Amino acid sequence: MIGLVGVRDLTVVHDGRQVLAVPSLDIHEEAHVAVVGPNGSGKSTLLRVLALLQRPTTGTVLVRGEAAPVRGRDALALRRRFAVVLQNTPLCDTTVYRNVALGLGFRGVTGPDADGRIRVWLDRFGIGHLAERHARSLSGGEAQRTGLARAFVLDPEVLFLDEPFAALDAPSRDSLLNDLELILREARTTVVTVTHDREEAARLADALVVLVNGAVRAAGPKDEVFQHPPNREAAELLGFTVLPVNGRAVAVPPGALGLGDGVMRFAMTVERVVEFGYERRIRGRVGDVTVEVGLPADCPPPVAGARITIAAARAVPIGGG
Amino acid sequence: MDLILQGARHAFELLLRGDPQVMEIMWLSLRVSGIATLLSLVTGVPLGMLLALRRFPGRTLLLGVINTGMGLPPVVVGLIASIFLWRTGPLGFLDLLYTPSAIVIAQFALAAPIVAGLTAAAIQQLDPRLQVQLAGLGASRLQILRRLLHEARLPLLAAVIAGFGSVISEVGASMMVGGNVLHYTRVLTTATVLETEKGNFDIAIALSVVLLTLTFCVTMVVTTVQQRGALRR
Repeated sequence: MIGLVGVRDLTVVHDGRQVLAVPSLDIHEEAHVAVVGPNGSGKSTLLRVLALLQRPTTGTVLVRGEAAPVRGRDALALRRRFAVVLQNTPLCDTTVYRNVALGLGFRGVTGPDADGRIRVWLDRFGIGHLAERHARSLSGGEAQRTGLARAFVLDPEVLFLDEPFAALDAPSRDSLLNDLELILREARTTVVTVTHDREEAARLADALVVLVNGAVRAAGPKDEVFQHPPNREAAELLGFTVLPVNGRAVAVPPGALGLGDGVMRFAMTVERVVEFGYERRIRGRVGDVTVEVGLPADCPPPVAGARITIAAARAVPIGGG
Repeated sequence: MDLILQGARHAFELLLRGDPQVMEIMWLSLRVSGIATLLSLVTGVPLGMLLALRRFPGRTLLLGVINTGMGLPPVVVGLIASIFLWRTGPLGFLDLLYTPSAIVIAQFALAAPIVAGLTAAAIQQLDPRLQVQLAGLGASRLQILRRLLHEARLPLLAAVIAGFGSVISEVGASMMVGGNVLHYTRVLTTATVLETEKGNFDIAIALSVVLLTLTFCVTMVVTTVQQRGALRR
């Protein structure tokens, strides 16, 4: 099956350093893909290359199976089928309404037709009342909503979102994540979201691409990748705790380690108890892996150096199977 | 002090009366410096944008030359322009020396680096990611450039004010390439020098007041446009 957008034999070299090497990657139509990776893993570069904003050093970008032209009218026409929201998207020095109207204006869409679409998306992102406010007077969350509405209003074939929640405080992030999740659920648009955050990836995407040091370490449907992380790097990035069992590594899903019963037991050496105020957690080591487990309120805290037994409620082998 | 008051009074008389000679000199100053400023915008803005947005060999050197040009002594520009326009000079065949066009050329050489340098600075202070974001919303190359100019409109209008201010007020270049010919190339600054040399301080002061008023009016128009843009936020 040919993807809507994809890359073949892609490399990107920046200042003599290879930042991206992807032999093959396809984003399928109507898929919601999250590209997950740590900072500096090349995920923003991948997004820019896919969105035709940056030319790769070698390789091709495919759009519906055909090599994308790199310059000229055809390249612009193709670029206009996409929309991109950069991290901390820079807004223009004008009102919220005019910011959202920008991309339509670039395409020659103005007047009542444009107005109707703009109002719809301002309302969907809950910023209809801010239409006449100047972009400079917005809070971080409002600015990010403006940036997203500005891209969604274009009804693009593919929408590229680069860290849509970076630099937002926790309440703004939570409320926008929830709104965006609902909007994406209705949207039939193909969406590529770049994020370093496993929770954002899990909530916004149905397929994951895990990128580490410029290379794809896992790719596939979300459930599959979460149930069978193919390697240690991908597992750790997705929040799994990777622990050794009889010389093999198993991945314990986020939140599955505890003091109670489980499918697997591990001996943990206590280092200290971390006080959060609302809960206490025991921090220690299993082999040379640092782990944390919750300490129930009625349990006395263990002393440093003590060896206790912890259990994993669930665990999956690494490398499939 | 009396002299200044007397000069100011005389200036207002000349202005109110619409003294034909003052009007002629004022109009020529405005026309010559206005055209020179316009030409410097037409070339300086694109050059400034190129310097701000592109990386090419010799860019820093060119920017350094332009920044030096922002403080060019008008007399030096006048001298170089004279040499070029001299009957036996490389551009002598144009027969432009001691014409208003010669003053326009010299003033253009003074204003263009100011406009180019300030444009480059204005565009460079914008968020560099804005270009990428605009492209990501489907802007063509030209649409991106237009939007960047719009984003930098306040400092760009400051560049217009600085460019016009530098040429309307210079005397050295106008004197050297224009020659201060009555009814032909006599502008406010050269006329002021002449009247001072002749000892007609009242007329010299009157001309200075006219020059200041003219500069103030033009600058005020541009400032009003600029601030209307600034407040519409």
